[in-house]
Amino acid sequence: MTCEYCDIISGKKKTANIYADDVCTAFLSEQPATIGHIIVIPNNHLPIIEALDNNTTYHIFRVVNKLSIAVFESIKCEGTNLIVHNGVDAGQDQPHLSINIVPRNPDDGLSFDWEPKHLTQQEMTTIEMKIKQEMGPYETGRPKWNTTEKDHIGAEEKKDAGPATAVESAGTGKSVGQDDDKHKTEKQETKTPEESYLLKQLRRMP
Amino acid sequence: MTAPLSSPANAEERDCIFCQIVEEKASAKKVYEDEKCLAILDINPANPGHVLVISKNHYDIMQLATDDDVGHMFNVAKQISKAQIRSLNADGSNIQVASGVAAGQKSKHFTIHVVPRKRGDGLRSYDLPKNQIGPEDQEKLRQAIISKVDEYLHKGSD
Repeated sequence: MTCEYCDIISGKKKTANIYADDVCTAFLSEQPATIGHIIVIPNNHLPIIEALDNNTTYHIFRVVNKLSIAVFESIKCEGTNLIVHNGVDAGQDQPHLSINIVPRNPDDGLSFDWEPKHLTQQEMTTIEMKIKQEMGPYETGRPKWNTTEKDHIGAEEKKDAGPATAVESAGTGKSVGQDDDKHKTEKQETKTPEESYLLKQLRRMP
Repeated sequence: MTAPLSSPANAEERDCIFCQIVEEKASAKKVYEDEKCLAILDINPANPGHVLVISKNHYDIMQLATDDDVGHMFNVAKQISKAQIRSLNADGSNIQVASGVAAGQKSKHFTIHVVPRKRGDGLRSYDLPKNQIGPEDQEKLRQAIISKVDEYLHKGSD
């Protein structure tokens, strides 16, 4: 079993394609949440959003935005949702990152509302400090995190080898661990304990 | 979405809580800021650590934002997700934007939600139902949408 989304990009699997360029491909969902549900995927086999480099992220979401306008105007819905399920525990059901554009209407029976969790002021402050520290200095316009192309899980130079290795990983569940270890040793440049943790998430992909 | 596309320049006139937060006329727990956007904790979180990435420029909805702001803000959202995984031991995240009241948009200001997820947290809000559609209907839909896509997107590199 290979990656269904990679098969769509290569043309092996036929879908109702909407748009494609060098970076991403968009098609109508075969199991739509609502009429006009579009899925946008990176052409490279990248499992989670953290694996996208900044240029790819910038490009894909601009395309997603334009597609949301196109679907809004063509099917005359009253709103749209953009939803990403980033990780198995967030509801991701394919090992290849996807962005959903879901057209909405008042009577469509959908709701993405939530019951707010109640946190104490102290809990909120602790969380604020933790995320703020991780994000780095602010109000200077110069974030701590690297804004160059190499800021992603896996080095840029492995881009060509990336999809094949990842597809193998996705296809043969048993060897995922081994492939990830090989992946890890190859990516010395960006390897950190936290990124290894993120790579662990890959093993949990279906 | 019946509101006018243009908005008054002044935050008070606009009555936009997020503009007031950007201008520091209302308080919020900020976790990140740069020239284009601000990231704050949602005071009614779906999960602990739920962050809102809001544009400093006022746009009623994402579709009215500049390409530059959209692209940049999703890079920030990506970094927020990474920060949540690292600092809160999250297992993943949902990233969500609502455009329009029918989509559940609560405040009329372009906002990206980044919600940390943990295994077994029971949050079903972002589950998508799976419906069926016949091949002929699918093709009709595709033709209708493609005719609009060409207006907004050029094929090839951007």
